[in-house]
Amino acid sequence: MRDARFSLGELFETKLPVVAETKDPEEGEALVTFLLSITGIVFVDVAYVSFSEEIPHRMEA
Amino acid sequence: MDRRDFLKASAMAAATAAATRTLDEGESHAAEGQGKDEIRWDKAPCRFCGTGCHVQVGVKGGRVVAIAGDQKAEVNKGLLCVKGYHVGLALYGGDRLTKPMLKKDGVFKPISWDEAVDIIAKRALTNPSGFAIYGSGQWTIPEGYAANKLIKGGLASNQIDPNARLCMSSAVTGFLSTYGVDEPAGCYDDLDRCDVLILWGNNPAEMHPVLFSRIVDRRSRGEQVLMIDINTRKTRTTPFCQHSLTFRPQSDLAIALGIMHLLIAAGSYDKTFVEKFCNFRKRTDPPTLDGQAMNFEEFKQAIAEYTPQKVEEISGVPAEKIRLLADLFGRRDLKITSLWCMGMNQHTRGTAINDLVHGVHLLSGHFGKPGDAPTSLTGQPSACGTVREVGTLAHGLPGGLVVADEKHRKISEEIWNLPPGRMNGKPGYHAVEMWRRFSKPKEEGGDIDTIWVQVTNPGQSLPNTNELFYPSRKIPGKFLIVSDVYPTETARHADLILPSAMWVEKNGMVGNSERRTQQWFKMVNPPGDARDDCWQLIAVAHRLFELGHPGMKDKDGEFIFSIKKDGKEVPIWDFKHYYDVNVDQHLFEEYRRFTRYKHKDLAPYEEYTRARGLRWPVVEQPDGSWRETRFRFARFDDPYATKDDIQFYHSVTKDDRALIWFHPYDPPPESPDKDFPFWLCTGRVIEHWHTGSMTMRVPQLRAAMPQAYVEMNREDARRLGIQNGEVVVVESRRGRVELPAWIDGRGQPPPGSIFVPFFDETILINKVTLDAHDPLSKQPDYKKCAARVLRKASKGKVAEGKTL
Repeated sequence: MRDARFSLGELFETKLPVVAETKDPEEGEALVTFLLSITGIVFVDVAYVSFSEEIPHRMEA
Repeated sequence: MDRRDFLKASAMAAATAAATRTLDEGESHAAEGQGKDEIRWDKAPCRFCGTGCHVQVGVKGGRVVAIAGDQKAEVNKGLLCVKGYHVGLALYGGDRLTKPMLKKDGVFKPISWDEAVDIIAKRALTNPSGFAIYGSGQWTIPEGYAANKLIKGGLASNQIDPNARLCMSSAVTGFLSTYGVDEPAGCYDDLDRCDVLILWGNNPAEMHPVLFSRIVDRRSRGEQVLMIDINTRKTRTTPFCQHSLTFRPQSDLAIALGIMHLLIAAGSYDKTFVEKFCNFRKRTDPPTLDGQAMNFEEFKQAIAEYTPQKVEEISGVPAEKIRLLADLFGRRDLKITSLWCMGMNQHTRGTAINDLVHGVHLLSGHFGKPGDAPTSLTGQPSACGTVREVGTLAHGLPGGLVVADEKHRKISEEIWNLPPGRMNGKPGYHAVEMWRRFSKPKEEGGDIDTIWVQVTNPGQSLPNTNELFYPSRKIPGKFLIVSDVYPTETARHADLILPSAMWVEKNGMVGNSERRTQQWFKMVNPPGDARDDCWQLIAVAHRLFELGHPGMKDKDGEFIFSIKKDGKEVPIWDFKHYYDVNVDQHLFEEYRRFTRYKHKDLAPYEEYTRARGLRWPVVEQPDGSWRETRFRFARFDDPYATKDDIQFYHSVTKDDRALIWFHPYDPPPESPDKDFPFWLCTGRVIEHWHTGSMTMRVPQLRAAMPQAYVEMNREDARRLGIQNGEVVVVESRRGRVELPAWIDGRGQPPPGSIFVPFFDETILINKVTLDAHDPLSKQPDYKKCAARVLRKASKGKVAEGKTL
């Protein structure tokens, strides 16, 4: 089952690039917590953050 | 492609790059030099914290246009944190300072650099002993070295102290009193090798995220790393730890004493290590770094009262958790690394708790093997390089020498070619004292009348700013000079503002937490008339030279910063000629001569231009190459340890032994009471660096964390009727701020505790904090004072008389 909030990149050994859109920073925090609750996910490195003025979305990777 | 798709593609590219770079040891995508896309790439350490990550900086059209993690860097192996990925944008805030400005009748008016330099020089000439420089762990090594030489070799007043006094001076005194010489014996390699990682009041998931990722990544490869979080509140680090031990503020001393008590009681301490390599010490009154000798039996008796039950009473940490720690330290088959940062250093017993954690490692023999190390982390990019190694603390000299030692002054006078006896043996004022004296009229002991601030923001970062920062602004004759890149709280209250170049707008060198010295070259021009801080110092020194100040001449009558090329003086005080030579290189090569005396040897400048940093001592090999040292005092790696497996060759007791200290637990100077019932702790957040003067100008980081807040425990909030997001007042005996409450937020303080970050210049929490400091390190305690939380009335007034 795919979660529509995420876009997945190519798996590199133990690391999976992920892009997610959230409506505000709080949802972003909750999303990281959710990811960490998934069995097999050890850690989430935030590599990039951007905000759009045109659309009320926030992206994290 | 619309903007949304573009941002998603950019995010995916960044995430993919991060994932591949931490795995691929091959060539970097961002190889140095000119790329096909006309972006020129070069290396630099990140501008922000003390981790010392290297970035690849992409420049096009005279602007930094791209940042990538540097795959060749051992520290970060290509990974960066969210601040690091955005570091380039810190250059391009819309309100960069571009002109020198003098305040006249309360209004800043642009003036020329010549006027500005003249004003500063005449302040120093008129009253040299009242002229102080307040510097920074963000100074580059050459900047700090130039400032130190100006004040200690030129004005001979020693009135210089950096902001690092506020962040790591207790670590300095801890290393000095234990090993006789500053800075960690181990390095980040310990994080790759330890079986157990103990975090003493440390939150690396937010404060040193790349190091934290490096540790957690071991787990993803199937390695076992037991992590123990010893904290006063749960943080982002806590969920990754198998054990969380929440203690009452100040009682970390009791925890360390309890571990040592159990090690001796159970006979599980490392008798051989202790007998070969350690002596024992206890504190004196007044305390000194040397203390008073005691023997093992006396030490055993002194710590006998710190039973697990007693430690539980003092700290609130269950006795079985103290036993757990002692059992781990008692095992020889494990490798244990301790990490700490501000939690242990910003402490009125900072030297004592540093000594005790070193003592736990020494007593248990968890020292000197990869993975076995007590290691302090620093918060600033060159707190080690510029403050501890260059010696910009008020008592220090380069290379670990001190002004109070006549031999050290003689060495300095020889290297600086000064007349014998020029230098002053009396240390200058430490930071709190410097600002206190600046904040008083002369007739009340306020003998500092000018402070020149460089690369820091004391109006936001000093403790108790209502007493230490603002009063001088109303005292006639006090003059505040600020060199900075943005208008900060300090700059707004200055008399004279100097616009500075930052990061890759100038050459630089820094030193990170693991003794790693790093170098970069200037890549872009600063905006407007902004100029290098190092040039500013040299220009003022030269103006003093022109005005006839005798201290600006060496014993041959030459300018103390004279640089000659082909036998001819290069006028580096004239900014047009500043880059005619590499001033950093000249200053660094002079500085290197100091570094041999305490075995902190540095390699020639050219070696650092090729490396992603080298960890000192860096020693020349028979084949002419230069070898760094990862593990000091250990014979297998440190070329100066030659007598035994371990040799503490700068031992306080001159017998190659380290000191295990006994310091009793004492209550803190201020504790919650009826009127101020909460413990207040302050600190940082992952998105922002220190006072936010750079990161709050990066739109992505500002949007991610736009405002400070007060973290509260849900139970306290419910009892007080405070809603999540409600604006409340946090108040102490010294000051107050208004800010929103965050319940069940990122951090979770226990009942009776609150936390406020200090990055937000609109919510100046240091009006509230306490300026009490450690008696030896003089480092203030930002981690605990008594405060209260008041609900605001519905119309914006504080509920009268209601203490919640």
